[in-house]
Amino acid sequence: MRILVQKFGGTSVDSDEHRQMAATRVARAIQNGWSVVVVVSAIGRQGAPYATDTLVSTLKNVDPAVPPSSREMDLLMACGEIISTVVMAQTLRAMGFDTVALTGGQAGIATDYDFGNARILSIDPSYVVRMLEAGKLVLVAGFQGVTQHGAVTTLGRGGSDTTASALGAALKPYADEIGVEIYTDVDGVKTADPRLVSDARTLNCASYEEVAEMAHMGAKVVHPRAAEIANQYDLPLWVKSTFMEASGTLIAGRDTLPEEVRLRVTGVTHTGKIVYLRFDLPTGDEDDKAVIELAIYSMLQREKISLYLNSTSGGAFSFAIAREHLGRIRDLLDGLVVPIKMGGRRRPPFGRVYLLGLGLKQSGFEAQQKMLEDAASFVELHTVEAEVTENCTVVSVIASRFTGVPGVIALILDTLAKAKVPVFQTADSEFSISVLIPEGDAAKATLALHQVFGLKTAAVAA
Amino acid sequence: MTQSSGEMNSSDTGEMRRQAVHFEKERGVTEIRILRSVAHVAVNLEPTDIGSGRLKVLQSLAASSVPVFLVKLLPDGLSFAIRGESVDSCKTALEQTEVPFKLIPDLSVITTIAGAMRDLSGIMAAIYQTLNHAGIRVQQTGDAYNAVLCLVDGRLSDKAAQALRKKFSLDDSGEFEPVREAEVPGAGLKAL
Repeated sequence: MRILVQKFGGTSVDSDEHRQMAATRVARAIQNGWSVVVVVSAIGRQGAPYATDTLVSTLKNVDPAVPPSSREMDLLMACGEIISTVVMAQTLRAMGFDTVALTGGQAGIATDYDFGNARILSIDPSYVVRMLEAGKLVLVAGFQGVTQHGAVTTLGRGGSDTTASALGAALKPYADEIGVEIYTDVDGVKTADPRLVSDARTLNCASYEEVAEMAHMGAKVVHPRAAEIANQYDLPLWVKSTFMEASGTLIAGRDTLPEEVRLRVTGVTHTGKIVYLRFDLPTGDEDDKAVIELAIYSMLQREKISLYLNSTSGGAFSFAIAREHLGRIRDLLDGLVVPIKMGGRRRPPFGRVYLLGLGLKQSGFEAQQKMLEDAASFVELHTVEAEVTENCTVVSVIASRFTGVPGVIALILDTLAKAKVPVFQTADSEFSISVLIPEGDAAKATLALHQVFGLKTAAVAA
Repeated sequence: MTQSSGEMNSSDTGEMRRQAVHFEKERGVTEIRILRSVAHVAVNLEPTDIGSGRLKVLQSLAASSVPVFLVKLLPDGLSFAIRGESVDSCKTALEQTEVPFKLIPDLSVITTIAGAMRDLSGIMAAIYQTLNHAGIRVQQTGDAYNAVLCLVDGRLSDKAAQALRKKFSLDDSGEFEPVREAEVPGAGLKAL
């Protein structure tokens, strides 16, 4: 049996016309001898009646003061995909196909209990396999699973991509040939966001690592979890357009791709609304800095706030957070007192105290400062005012094993300097080099880097 | 396509359980790697011309084919890491550029690998807590979507890796196991 998993995103199923176009893709695959499993996202995006965001708003608006339980939120959110799946099944049934529509749980997808961001623990594909063997066209609601006790869960961002990839992995042992196709409103993985770079090119092929890195760094075509699963199970993953006749992008193992693809600059991505915080200790004491860093990171850990672009040097350290967390960070850190023990002292000062400020000078901060100043004869008081840079974004050059090549970072900084884009910080990993820049310069920076690495015409190989 | 009832019966259930595929990565840390023989370089620059000064330094290193990583922009210059074998070339390049610099040799990069790091919170705190308790100072940090890098004293790299392996339950025996050596950034690649 040749099994093809085809996933259709929200914009592919948001109207009769689009559903017909999606159905045509399914029909063509069946004509070509594939046994097809269709994974469907919720209909449309924010504002559409059954879009996930609309359902969430409905629930939250019952009483904004009382947050819904995450368990029930998941139960509701999963309905968006179920409705969409049944409607798509009916569309295909009307075209003469013998369809069966399944929820994630009915398709055998078992998850943990992390409602809203559940992780797939296992997939039992045998029911799906039996349906396929019986000649049925199987449709599975994306983005969802079920716990071992039957509670419906959702898989978080990119959940339907994850469903498609995971189903592909689970069905692989039953297939003579397996493929996964992610259908969306663009014709494949682009070298840059086409809204910022009009001549961004569609990649013919890309490695799992490149796509995972691009997705993590802001490209929105495939969710990284889907790419990671495909990588783990060596699944050929295609990204194609529902609406255009184009070959799309093949995502596969690096070793199976052409030589020139294995070492190249793949694309330029941009991500997120970022805030950058820098703390510079007036004492310059590195041991004290380590204690303060730990205090802050532990606090952010408790609040489940992720931080990145970390840097530490001498008596200073810095990191970035998503802007959505800035309010909470200010609540937590403005006025935070970090005491440092000074052991064995018989005379004051008996210790050092650092008072952190985030430029707000709120009443809490002032009260803390007053109290500590009153105690200043017993302790050394140092105020650390953080430098807060708001309205930043991260632009990344995705480059397979290219990041340590002498001159790449220099070229990036030189290009941005010529484009008059200030760079606040850099970060480099095995697959990318990122720069933190003003949000308003994202388009200019992306365009300049896209141009300098020759991405318009062909991938740059070292 | 043909019709089929396709309903499950109870005897199928046991077989289905046996056929279940366990595959998505568990959350959390999966591996600790060490990259040995690394040096850290901090370059001080004139505050009046910091941008072009940084560029000049990086271009000079590129011209000498010195691969750099963990590059950080500092208010008074920049810092970066290099492999041990590039130390001499790096020193020569910086001396020619006539910038004051401080080079600390014999460091190691400890890389903590975790899938979808950005979806996780607290990895950095856990790493800092662990290294702090082990008495290991972090010279510099870096992060990627799936990794946190910590530059530490090379003499303490095995201790650091062992402490992190224990912290993240990668070594049930509690005994040290040799960890995988990290890939060398830019090794064998020509300069742009």
